[in-house]
Amino acid sequence: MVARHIKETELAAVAAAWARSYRVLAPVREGAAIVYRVFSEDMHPFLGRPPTSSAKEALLPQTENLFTYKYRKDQADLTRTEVFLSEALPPEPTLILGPRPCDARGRHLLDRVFLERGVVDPQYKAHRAATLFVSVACTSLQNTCFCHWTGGGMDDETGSDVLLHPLNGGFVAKAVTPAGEKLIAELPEATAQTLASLDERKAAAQTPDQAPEQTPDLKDIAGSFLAVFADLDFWTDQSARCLSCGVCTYLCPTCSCFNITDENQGMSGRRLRTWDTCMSALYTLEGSGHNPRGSRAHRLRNRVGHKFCYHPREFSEAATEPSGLEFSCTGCGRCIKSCPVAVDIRQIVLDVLDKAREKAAETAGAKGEEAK
Amino acid sequence: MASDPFATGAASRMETLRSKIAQELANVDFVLGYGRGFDPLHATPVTVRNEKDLDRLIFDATCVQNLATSLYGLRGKRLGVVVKGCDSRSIVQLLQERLWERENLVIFGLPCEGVLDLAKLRASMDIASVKEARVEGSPRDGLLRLKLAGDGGERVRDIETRGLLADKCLRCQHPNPLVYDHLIGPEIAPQGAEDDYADLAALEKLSTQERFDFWKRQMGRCIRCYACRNACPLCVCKHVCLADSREPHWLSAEATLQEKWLFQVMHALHLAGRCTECGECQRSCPMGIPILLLKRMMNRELKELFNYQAGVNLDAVPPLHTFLMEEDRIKDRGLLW
Amino acid sequence: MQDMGREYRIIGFLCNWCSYGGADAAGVARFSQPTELRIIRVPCSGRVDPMFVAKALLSGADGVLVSGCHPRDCHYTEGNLYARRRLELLRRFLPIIGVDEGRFEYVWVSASEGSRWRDMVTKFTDKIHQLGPMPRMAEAARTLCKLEGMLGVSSAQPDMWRADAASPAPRHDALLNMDDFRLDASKLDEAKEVMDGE
Repeated sequence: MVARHIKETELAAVAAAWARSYRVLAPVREGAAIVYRVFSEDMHPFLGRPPTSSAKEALLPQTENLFTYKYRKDQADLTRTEVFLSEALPPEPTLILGPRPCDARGRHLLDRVFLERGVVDPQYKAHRAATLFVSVACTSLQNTCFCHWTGGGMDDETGSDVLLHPLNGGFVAKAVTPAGEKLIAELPEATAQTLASLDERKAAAQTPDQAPEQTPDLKDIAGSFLAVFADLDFWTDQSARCLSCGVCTYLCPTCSCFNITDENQGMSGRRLRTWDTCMSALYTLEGSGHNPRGSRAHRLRNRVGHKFCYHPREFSEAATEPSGLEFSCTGCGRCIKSCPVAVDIRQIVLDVLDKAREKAAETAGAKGEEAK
Repeated sequence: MASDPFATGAASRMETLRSKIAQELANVDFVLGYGRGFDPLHATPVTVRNEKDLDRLIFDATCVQNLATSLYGLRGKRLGVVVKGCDSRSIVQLLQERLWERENLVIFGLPCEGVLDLAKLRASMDIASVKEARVEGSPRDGLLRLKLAGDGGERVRDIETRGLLADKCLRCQHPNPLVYDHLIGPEIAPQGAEDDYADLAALEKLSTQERFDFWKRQMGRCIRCYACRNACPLCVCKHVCLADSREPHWLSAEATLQEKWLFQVMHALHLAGRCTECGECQRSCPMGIPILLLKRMMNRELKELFNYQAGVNLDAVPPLHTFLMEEDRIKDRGLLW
Repeated sequence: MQDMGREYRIIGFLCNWCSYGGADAAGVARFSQPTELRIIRVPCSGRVDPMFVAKALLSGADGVLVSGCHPRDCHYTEGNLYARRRLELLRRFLPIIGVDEGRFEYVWVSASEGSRWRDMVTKFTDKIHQLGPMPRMAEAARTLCKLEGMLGVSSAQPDMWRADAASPAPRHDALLNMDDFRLDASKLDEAKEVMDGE
């Protein structure tokens, strides 16, 4: 596929051209945050840093109307009520500009939940089909980034339709899918010189091996997690600082949990799907009053377990380097960066590995004793 | 630097803190203190259960969190907690409302000269490249010495801490804990300026419609994660909060501006006369929404109406728990027309 | 009086013992009064949670009037005295969230003061007419069964996504980050440069 070139100064014009056929979501700086907004001509997309919110809101909106309903009493027989439903309209064609490779990988992981294993979510499917990802490759790792742990990378193409490589005052656009190819077909081709300097930049860039933290060996993480699953003291210590708010899950590009509620007003109402967070006690609170995940320890354990144990075990065929496991985490680091109390999921994962090793050694020791 | 009195002071203070906590370990389930977070600029709360954990303790200008926040969820235990002056006000308020028993709490109070607001630092640099950080001198007029990773090897950058102090520290009147069992280090004189409410005044200069639109834009970013609520030491309802209740149905689950905004108003109203302005709600907000303004507005009016400040006096009666037959400063509304 | 043709939504929270009686007395005396005030009877003005007022104002009411017994006359002795503190605080708080202070008022009306009640309602209604309709957080959010409002976040909440589109250059941009306005202007340029280069 032909590489194209966009000058930084022409970015708004290119976005405006796309906006003629798509609802373009572009990151803008608002106060201290970078958030996606519907593009309009007077906006300046900001691609300099990863957005505060993840791109999943394009595929799984925080609030989604599933349908509206209306009751009507049968006037001849008031004990009978008729219900009328009207479905939501299909989503508009959407283009999201500015996700990072980690966000785009998230799309691939959301597909696993909503499109695979025989259960297809029609709303998600519609959003998925209507949405294009124009991602921006990273040029450096922040100290919260750990995409290289999960098989991603600064210019990983998984999940993107077009990947923009920043290069002194512009971007080299590379199409990943045919839809992406069509999207950038009108743009000028990148010169050989530009491509050469891109290769040069990439060669000089920090590789994960040079990252402050080496990629740990995570191939045993699923088993290790199960080994420390029942050690509630360990999880209590890990979660002692957790506030059980929803920052980590709502900013996560792969967290997919939702709640469904009816908002009733008299004889009519709407059925809504909204994001939910497993960090909240209400998430598992049962009608009887019993809560199987009553403490923060249980809830934090679930989040770590889901991402690094249950998901890889469920999708064991989807082997991904470097660990040979596919995690339900893309290493974007938002849960670390935005956590009010600096909970670090990387550290928890490493502690799980350590603890499991410790336990294994103890068990081996005990068995040795027995054998004697 | 041996010649730096602050550094030696800080080192001996940490030693005192560790030894005092070691003394009390037998009497408590665990102690909540500060440890180093994922980078040199972030502190994170840690639990100290035994002598081994003592090494993880730190205390410096990065210890921004209010550890009193975790207390209510841990009631029934006997706990130790490390507090700064401002955090101790939250504890006073919790005790005033009988939300904790004083006898089940061992308080390690640390006089504090101020903490850094990372949002301010973030505005001027990429904090993700910081490899080492150290405050030279007092946080009020010293230097933050940062070692940065860069393409050309490591660089050192000095930034005056004065411009990085959290807003609450600039107006701090209570640097010394108001309630404690062990005071670690000498008491210090308040260095904060008197609160002039300049931020509120800036907002009040706008017209009503402009203020409405200001909040509309701000709240547009809210993701309803409820970090503001969960980080609040006095929001003790947590998951039985009215915001989550279906009956009465104050708020729906929709992520609309109206629901987001009504929650912030609810938060401010339910904290009237209780908020100690520790600022955790605003600091915790991942989207940087200035929600502390609402609580400051409430506090300014409380001070004017009832001459009351929350969390400074264990025996004070909160103003909305009482009344005067003749209110000095409330005019009869019916007669104004 | 401006805009008399338009109907406004005004909510009145009236205590059962005095003000509701006062409103009744005004009716029995056949006083002519505006009809836009919709009365909700509560046991005591002390029952009025400030959230009632806030929710009403943010959900579409153009004004809220709370009325109770005169101080010292409360059926429950002290309900209105607690209410007085709460409601005064609320009244002073509302302007900061962009609600005009004239949209909320609390008064004392006894069961025998029919003509006083008429005066209060008339004056309050006039005031709301002068202020015009309360600005809405989101017009579409509460409107049901409109197909065009059913596209998930994007159109269910136009404000959220189109905030920038609606106001191209926010006048008070500096206020968007409340920390910024404390920095001086010369430092702002420097700050911006480093941030963009990140």
